[in-house]
Amino acid sequence: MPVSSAPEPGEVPDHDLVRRSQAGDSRAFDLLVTRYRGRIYAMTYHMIQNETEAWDLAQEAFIKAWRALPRFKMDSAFYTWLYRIAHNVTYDWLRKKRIQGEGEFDDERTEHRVAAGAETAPRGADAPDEALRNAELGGRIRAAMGQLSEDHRQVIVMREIEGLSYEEIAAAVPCSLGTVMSRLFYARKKLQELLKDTYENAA
Amino acid sequence: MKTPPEDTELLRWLDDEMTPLERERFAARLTVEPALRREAESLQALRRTLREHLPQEMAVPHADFFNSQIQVRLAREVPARRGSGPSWLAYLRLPRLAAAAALVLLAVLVLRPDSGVDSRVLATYTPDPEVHATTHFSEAAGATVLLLDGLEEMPAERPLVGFRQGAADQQLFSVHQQNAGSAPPATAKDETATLTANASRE
Amino acid sequence: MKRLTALCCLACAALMLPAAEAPRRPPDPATEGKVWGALVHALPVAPPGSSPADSPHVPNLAARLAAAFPESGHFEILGEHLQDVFREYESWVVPSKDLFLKVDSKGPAPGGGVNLHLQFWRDQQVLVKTDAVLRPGSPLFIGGPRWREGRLIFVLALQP
Repeated sequence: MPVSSAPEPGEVPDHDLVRRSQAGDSRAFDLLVTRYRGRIYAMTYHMIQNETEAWDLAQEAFIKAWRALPRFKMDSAFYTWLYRIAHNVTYDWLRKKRIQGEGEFDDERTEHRVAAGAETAPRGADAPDEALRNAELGGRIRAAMGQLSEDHRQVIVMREIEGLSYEEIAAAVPCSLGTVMSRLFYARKKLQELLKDTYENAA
Repeated sequence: MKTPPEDTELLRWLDDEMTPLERERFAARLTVEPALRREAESLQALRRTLREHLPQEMAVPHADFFNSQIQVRLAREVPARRGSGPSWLAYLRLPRLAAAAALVLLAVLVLRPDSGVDSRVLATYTPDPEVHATTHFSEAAGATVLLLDGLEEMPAERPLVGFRQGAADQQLFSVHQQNAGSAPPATAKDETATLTANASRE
Repeated sequence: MKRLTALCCLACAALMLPAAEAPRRPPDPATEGKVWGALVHALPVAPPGSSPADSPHVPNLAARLAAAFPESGHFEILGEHLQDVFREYESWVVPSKDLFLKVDSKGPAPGGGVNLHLQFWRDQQVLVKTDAVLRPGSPLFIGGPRWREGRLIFVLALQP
């Protein structure tokens, strides 16, 4: 599981903030939110590829963590524990979305179409070539990730971004080691197929 | 779905899941199998590209609002936490915290009373820093007012298209059509009604 | 004989059709209640020929708006929308295609009403995000952008 990024020297260690949060100190919890919101948001964003929903899910993960804090025994790093909660929140959301998608009720509706570019429009049309190329490549990679199935995207995020081992992925999903390897294999094949020209040209 | 055995090796090598001995053997294979080496290099390049463009940490949009909304929700849950774990009241023994808590309580009770009857605005955030939101409860209006100042004016020549919508399901889908950029829904009509503050004005 | 068989098949199919179609209808999503949203144009004085009107969704709306926005003396409803607030889905209150509101339910509020996360949109831009408790009989007035001689106001009211 991902380990906690060590606080900077002089910062209050996680376990102190966790203890204070467990005692009901929401300001201590606010510091934990500030410390880990960027990583949790990155995970939810890579998984569901939508800024607004990822933002809401990251919040939901912190709220759920707050509720579960009294049961947290500090037998793992706080971030590891938080990551697991965020992963479950995201996966539950994806599952629910998939179930809804099977009906006729269109839940891909509304905001994302309205919001396209609303608050995330790339700024600076005069960006240098390098930055522009990077932005284009980033866009292609996100689009390719979007074409993976949720199961495949999940293992790619866990392995390539969070750096989880096969065993950790298997425990988190949960599934067998063979399934982890199989999903990684096919996910990479698909990404290779979609991106090969991009990264080979960039190299 | 099974992973082909020859690729299992490559996968485990790429993901650093091999023992040192297995790794050594696989490295030897790479030197004599050009096709395997090309595939290994391609997968490594893919990994580098993914890691470069899919960061482990991202800036959260409206980060302050992100935190403040969490705090608003936690504030509603604090009473439920009493009795679980060490008592949070212990912190009130500290004079500064007790004073701060008293101020917060005062703010809650006096400045933002919740009658349980009136609507309330709990928190606001304006993405545009030029826009300021202020809120108050108007006794005379029996309404909560959220005022947005600093907004860009709507162009005078722009006609505003109003709808009269009632049936919920129908409307949801009419909104889609709008959002997708199609024509306004068939149920929408360009009617306006007029309200005048007349003699009944308070 | 073939014709008779075909007719029998058609008849059977016709009889079975409603039964086969029935399960396909998606269940209605759970709701927290209904809101009425209106886009109102507040003007300093009534234009000639305008007639007073009101809405059954917010009693004394004109007078209440005047109390909250005393600089205006005339209020015109440009559009209105009665919308369910879905429990697990976002809802959109769209009295106008120019200014509209996204509504997310955060569950029932203690003491009645509903906790909402609101986003006030103008075209493709969010003007304000807010958390609010909305209770029946107590509307929310959002003072929006200026337009022509007056100001646009969004009214949101939880229906009893």
